[in-house]
Amino acid sequence: MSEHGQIHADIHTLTGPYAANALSAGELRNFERHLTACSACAQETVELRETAARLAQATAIRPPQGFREQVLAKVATVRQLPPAVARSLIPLRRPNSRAWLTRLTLGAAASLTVVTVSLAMVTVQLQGRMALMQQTNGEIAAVLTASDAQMVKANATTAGTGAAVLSRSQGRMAFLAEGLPQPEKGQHYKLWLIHGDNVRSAGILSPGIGQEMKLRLIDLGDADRLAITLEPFGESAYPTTLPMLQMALSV
Amino acid sequence: MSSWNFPAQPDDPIQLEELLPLVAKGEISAFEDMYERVAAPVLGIIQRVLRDPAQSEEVAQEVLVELWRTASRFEAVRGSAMTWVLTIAHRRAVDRVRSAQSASDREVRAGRQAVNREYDEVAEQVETSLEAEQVRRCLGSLTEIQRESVTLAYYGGYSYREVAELLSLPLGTVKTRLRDGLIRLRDCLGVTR
Repeated sequence: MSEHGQIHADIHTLTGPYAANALSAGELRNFERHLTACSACAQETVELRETAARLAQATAIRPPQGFREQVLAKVATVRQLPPAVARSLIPLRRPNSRAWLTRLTLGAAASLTVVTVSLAMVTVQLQGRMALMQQTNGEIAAVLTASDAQMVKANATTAGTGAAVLSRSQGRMAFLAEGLPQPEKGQHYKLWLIHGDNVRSAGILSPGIGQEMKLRLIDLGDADRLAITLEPFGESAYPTTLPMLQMALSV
Repeated sequence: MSSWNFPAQPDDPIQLEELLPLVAKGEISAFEDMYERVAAPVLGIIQRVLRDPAQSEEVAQEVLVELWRTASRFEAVRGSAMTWVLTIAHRRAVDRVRSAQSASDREVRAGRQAVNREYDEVAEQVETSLEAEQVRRCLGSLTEIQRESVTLAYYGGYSYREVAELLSLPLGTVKTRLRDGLIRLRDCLGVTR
C-alpha cells in the first residue's frame, strides 16, 4: 500500500472481516489506514457494520435481576469523556448517502450539498463554493456517486492538502486542493497527470475562495499519478519545478 | 414472546440517536432510557460470543459503563446509534476471547464442532422476536460457506484466519465469502441507512 492509500483489490475485501471484528490487530491498523483513503471501502464498512449489528440484535436476551442496578451504580462513579474536538479524517459519507446522492443528482441546488458533504469528509472546506459548482455539479455528482468512486488524499510538501474522488468507470475525477501557499507574482499552480514516463498537463489550479483552489473535474485517461508544481505564467508543456504535491491514483 | 426487545417501538418515539447527546451531557434519565433499549442486545451478543453467563454479564456491564463514558464520541455520520453500541459490545466480547486465548492458547481445532452449532442456535431463537426470525431467514438464504463464515466470525468471535482453519479453506476464500455473505445479508435485511 502506498503512502497515500493506493487501493489494493485485496485489502478492499477486508471490509467483511473488519465489520465482523475478525481482523488481527496488525491487519486492523492497516485496514483503518486504508479506510482513510478509500471512501468506497468506508461506505461499505458502514453498511456491513450496520448489517452485523442486526445479527447482534437478533441475540437479545433479558438481563438478570439486579443487573440494571449494578450498571447504574457503576455509572454514577464514572466521569464522562469530553467530546472529541478534532474532526475525523475518515472519509465517510452519510450511511444512506448512496441512494441519497443518486436521488439528488437531478436537482442542481441539491447536488451542491452532495459535493459539500462528500468532500468535506477529507476536511476540505467547501463553503462558499456553490455558485462555482452550479454548472458542473451534475457531472461531479456522477463521479462521486459512481459505484467505483474512491477517494485519495495527499499533503503538499509545503502546506495544504489535495483530495480527489475518482471513478475509473466514469473516467474522471473531482480534484480539490486547499491551503496551498500563495504563489509568487507571475507564477501559478499547474496540475499534471502521469502515466509511467508520460506527463500531460491537466491545466491550472485557479484560486477559489479563501484557502481553496477551484474544484476541478479532470479526465483521468490512463493516469496513475497526479502532481502539482509551481510554474511561471505561460505555456509549459512539461513541469519545470519539483512537485510540491503528488498523489497515487488508485487502480 | 414479549415486546421487551422492542421498547423503542411506536409508543416511544425518541430515537437512540437523540438520547446519546443527552447521555453525553450526563443526564442519568437519558442513560436509563438508553439502557432499556440496548441492554438486551448488548448482553445477548456478548453471551453469544463468550457463552459463559457470568463472564458475559461482567463484560456487558463494562460495555454499558463505556457507553456512558464515551457517549460524546458517537458520530451519527458513521452509522446508527444501535450499530455504534453493538459494535462496541461485539468488539469487547471478541477482545475478551482473544486475550483469554493468548493466555490459555485455545486450540482452534476445539472449535471445529462449533461450525454447525452457530447456525442452529440462531434457528433455536426463532421464537424470541421478529428481528431474530428475519435474521434466521436471511442467514438461510446464504450459501453454506458464506453462512459458516459469517456465523463463525461474528457469533463465534473467531478471526477470519481461524475461520479459514476451521473450514479448511484458503484465507482468500473466507475473506471474500465473509464479505459476500454480509453483503447478501445487508440486502436481505434491507439495511439501507
